[in-house]
Amino acid sequence: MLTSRSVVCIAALLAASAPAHGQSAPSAKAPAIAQTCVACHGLKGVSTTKDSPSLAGQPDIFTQYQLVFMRDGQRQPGVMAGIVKTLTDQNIRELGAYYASLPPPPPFAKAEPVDAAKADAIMGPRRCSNCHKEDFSGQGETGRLAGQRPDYLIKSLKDFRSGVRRGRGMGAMMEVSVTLEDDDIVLIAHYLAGKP
Amino acid sequence: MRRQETAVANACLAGVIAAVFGCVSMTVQAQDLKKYDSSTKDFWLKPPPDWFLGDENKEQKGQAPNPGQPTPTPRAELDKILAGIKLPPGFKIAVWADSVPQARQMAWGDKGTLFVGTFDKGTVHSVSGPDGQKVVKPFITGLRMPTGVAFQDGALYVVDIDKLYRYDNPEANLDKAPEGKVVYDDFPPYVPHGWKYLVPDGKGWFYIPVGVPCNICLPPASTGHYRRVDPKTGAAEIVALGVRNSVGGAVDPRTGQLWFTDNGRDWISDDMPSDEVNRVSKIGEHFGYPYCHQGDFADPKYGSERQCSEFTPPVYKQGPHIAGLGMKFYTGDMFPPEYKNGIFIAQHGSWNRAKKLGYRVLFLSVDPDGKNPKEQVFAGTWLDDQKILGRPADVLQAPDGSLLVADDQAGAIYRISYQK
Repeated sequence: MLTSRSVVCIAALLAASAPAHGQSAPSAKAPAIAQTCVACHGLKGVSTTKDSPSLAGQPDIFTQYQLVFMRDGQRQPGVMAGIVKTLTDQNIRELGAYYASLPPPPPFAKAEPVDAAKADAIMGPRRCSNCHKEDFSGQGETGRLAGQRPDYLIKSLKDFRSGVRRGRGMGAMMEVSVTLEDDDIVLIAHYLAGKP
Repeated sequence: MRRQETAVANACLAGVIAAVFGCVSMTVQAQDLKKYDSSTKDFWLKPPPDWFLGDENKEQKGQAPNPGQPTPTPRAELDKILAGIKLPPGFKIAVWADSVPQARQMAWGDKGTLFVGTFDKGTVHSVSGPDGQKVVKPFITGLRMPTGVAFQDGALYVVDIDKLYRYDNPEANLDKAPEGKVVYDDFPPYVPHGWKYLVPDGKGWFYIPVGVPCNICLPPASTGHYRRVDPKTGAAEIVALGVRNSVGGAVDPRTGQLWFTDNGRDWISDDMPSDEVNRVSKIGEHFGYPYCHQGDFADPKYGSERQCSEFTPPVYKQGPHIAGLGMKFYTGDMFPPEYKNGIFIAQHGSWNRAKKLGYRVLFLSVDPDGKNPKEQVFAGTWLDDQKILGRPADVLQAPDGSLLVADDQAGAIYRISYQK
């Protein structure tokens, strides 16, 4: 699974570097380096690629941290390994600001309908909204969850639960995720993906 | 691999014990003041989902630890910020090294290299070279939260969440760190408040804090204390109990006793309780957590079980949520004599209160027996109204008697010097 995804992403990356790709350039204030991200994360930061998160509307600081942690090797960068190594602090600051400025993704179209009461029963006691905010738009170092791809949310939560995902928030996220069953994770992932 | 998390996860997923504290029961109780029976093994195998976060009221909702900043503040901006930092007459502050991301505890190598820990970047940086041309390099990478560093007998010691490492002869190998040797690993696995500080005791051992993995709980017996660890043999003993989250301490040059800062619990109010400065006058002394805070304030949940008079009160109350972290006694000759043997404290600054407090370096003059504490705001503040400009996380005396300040938000190290 990972391999096929890697191949797709790398192929797409190569394609993205060719101007004749057929996609119009993002808005003028997009830093040039953001072109590299388009293939997997979408033209305007809304991903159509499985396991690849939408970046549009993510808090500036959140995006910056993730890039720094991937560059440092604290987060496994996967297919991004080659890209993050070349990023300067300035690149990272520009990318953070750029994605924060894009309109957030709409509710994920293929999110499965979820009983909100069930989702609340899982998330309420864990105080998810205390950091991620009531509307799950995120703030500061805390990521936006609303409208995120459910496959990516599932991967993230499982990575926090197992300790694979390191870096900012790992203490709090491990404590709240360690008691989650797989079914809980799927349920809240679809609940959040369907949020505007 | 990540032994600690997987162990906890496996224990929880195995679900051998019935979920006494499951989600449903917690939801029902969520409105009430929570009180956990954390004395049972079940609790630690399957803790309730809100045992670490929570306790906030409506007004406090949304308060969360400061996000910090992912990349260091550029040099030109640092210079501007320092121009606004106030110091007593005769003192000045300047950037000593920039681009030191997440600078936490600092330690001098024998040959003049400064080693600097980080928070969750997993890196220990080396800073070397002549003043004005400092070169900052990632020295050790791939750890989890190597906040604490110390240099002793030609070796660099780094404490991560659950391990103490030794790196031999590091200054001869600044381009590539030698393999770290685990010299002690009998720490609990908890990540929350699991980041540590190293206090050399002057006799070859280290005092090391082990924080509680919660805001307020009856903590696992493997946490909530200071221990003294011999890096040569791996021997260890408990020296102080009732400690919540200490990330700074030092040995008093006058007495050889351990003093330490401790961060008080959250979510009571903007003004309560105060963070502490404590002095350990005998082995096994108890400083009150979770029953009693700041020496005289009974905890709303646990206070009824014990009396504040049973515990050692702090020498000095720093203020609520102010987060005094790294501290050192000043023994140099550069500063005026009134600073000798006093304590400098890096007050990291608050998050769990409406108006920000701290973001400065405090000086505390105090008698060896803890009497007559007198405070002086020494350097600060790294605030522009409510905007955070920097967060002092540690202080360290330089060989010439000047004082270095590590700022883990701006990613910089400052030097404070004095001239008549």
